[in-house]
Amino acid sequence: MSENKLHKRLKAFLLEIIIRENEASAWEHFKTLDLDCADLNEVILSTSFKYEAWELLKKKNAAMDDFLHIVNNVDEDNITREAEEILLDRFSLDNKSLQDIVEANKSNRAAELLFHQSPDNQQLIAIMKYSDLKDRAAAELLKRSPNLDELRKIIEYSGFKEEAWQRFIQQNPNNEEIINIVHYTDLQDMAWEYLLARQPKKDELNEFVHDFAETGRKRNEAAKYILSQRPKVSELTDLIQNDLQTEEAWAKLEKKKLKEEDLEYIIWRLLRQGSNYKNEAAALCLKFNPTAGNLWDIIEYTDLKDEAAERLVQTARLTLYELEDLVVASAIPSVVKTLSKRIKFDRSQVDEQKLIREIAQKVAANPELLDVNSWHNGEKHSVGGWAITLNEAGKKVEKEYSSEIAACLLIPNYRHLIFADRETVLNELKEIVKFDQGNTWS
Amino acid sequence: MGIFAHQFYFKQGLPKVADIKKAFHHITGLDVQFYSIVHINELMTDEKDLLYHIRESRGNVIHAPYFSCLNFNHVYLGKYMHPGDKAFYLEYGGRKSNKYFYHAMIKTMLEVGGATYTNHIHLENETDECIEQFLEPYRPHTPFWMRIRTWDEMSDFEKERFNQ
Repeated sequence: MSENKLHKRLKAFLLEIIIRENEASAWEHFKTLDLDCADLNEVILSTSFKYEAWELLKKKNAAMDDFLHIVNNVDEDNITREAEEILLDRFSLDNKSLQDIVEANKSNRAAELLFHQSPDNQQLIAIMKYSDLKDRAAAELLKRSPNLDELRKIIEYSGFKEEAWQRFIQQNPNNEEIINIVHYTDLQDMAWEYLLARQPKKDELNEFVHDFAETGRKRNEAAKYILSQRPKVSELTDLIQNDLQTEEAWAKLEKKKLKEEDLEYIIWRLLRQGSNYKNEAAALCLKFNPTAGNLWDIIEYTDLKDEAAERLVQTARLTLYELEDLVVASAIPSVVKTLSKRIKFDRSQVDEQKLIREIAQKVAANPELLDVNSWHNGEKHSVGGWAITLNEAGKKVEKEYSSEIAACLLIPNYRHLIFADRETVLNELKEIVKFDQGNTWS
Repeated sequence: MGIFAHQFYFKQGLPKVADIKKAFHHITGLDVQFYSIVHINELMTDEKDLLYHIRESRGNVIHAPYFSCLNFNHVYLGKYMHPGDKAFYLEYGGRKSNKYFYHAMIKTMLEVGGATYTNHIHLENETDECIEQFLEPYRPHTPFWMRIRTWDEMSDFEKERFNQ
């Protein structure tokens, strides 16, 4: 390998180490090599040795593009300002380069130079947006018959708002263009009134409801407008999900006769994506004809697990895995009965109260015997694990099927303790022992 | 089936391979093997943390480090990390549907101090404080995690559930 190639590879390896690991000794070694401007630019751009590299670069005969690269890409004000000064002092810059400096450094000096070099409309907009020469650039742009988008920029960035607005509406903008004025300029109120006077379609206002522009503007006003225009189920659902005029929206939604696609939409938006009205929405869906999928969603996402489980177990032919999921979510009598029948388990042989008292007494006497995170862990068990351990029939069910099925069939009324945290379990088991000691058990 | 990916964040830095193996064995009763391109040069890698392996394997997509156990599909260490030295993806290409190993690896990472955060949130260059507000609490007593337990103690019915 030639010495030149080896030198290049060494530089590349050291640069890799400097960039990835900010390794000071690698940087010290790197500096001793014959560095060009591109090498130093990499260090300035990507490492904490940028200040030292910048000082080295200044001593080299760097080209205009090297300094432009720094202005456009380095995130360090002191360096980019100094690079800008060098560029403006030493080089004759074209409009594109000056525009880049204006945009990157918000430079008034570069803007002034650009303004006197016949800037195009986009460059005038850059001057308006990034420098203090806003009104001069706007006045120049207004002389050039600006289009709707350019007028919006004048409204947004300059003091010629009223004049630009008048010119804007003379050009017959569509509703989307007016909405952009609402979103992005100080004339939001004037533009909103103008928009409403044109009686927009409801779906044109969707972006206010969803706040696509992320400005938060006119959301409640848009919600009120939608509510006044015979809103559809999906529109009411969107208002509720976005916390807009929720009481009125919910009152209207409750009066709707819901179809299958409405239920799907409500469940997707208010249950799966989350809402303060998720339980109310689940109750509403249960009044109609929810599918099995809808019912599973109600079980997963709301507090109406028992109601949905009851409906599911009555109406659907469930697999054993589904029945297991169901009993884990809601061990109501009908689910327990169906599951027991499916696996031919005779629940009459189980004395649930006796079993839970026995567990409570064991754990109360020695809380170390409780491990809520494992069914069985040596001598320790969860509440469900203890129920299985203390019941021979339960052990058989666990061996053939699962701990979940066995535990939920043994102590369905204490299902909540099977999957509860340690503190909750201990507190409730202590209460059971206390109750037991008061001799009030039957 | 597609590729599953689960993102983890370790506030105290990434765990050592030896700690992962120990926690995995405690949860499943099985041994997990770890394969990394670093094995080419080093015999002892267990005391290195995962970050070391991810860094060494960067740019070597076909040599992404992975975990292996019995005849389950491998679980890979993803190359994407946000933030750079405290997070990684566990990836699982579900050609077979048995997800026991994948979920057991996720549980293992949670047990050794990892936290998971929602996949669609990209937190590049964010501070610890910012990331912490997105972390999901690990609740090992809940039904999903209670299903991941010692392989040999599970019934055929329970094992088959991971094929559903």
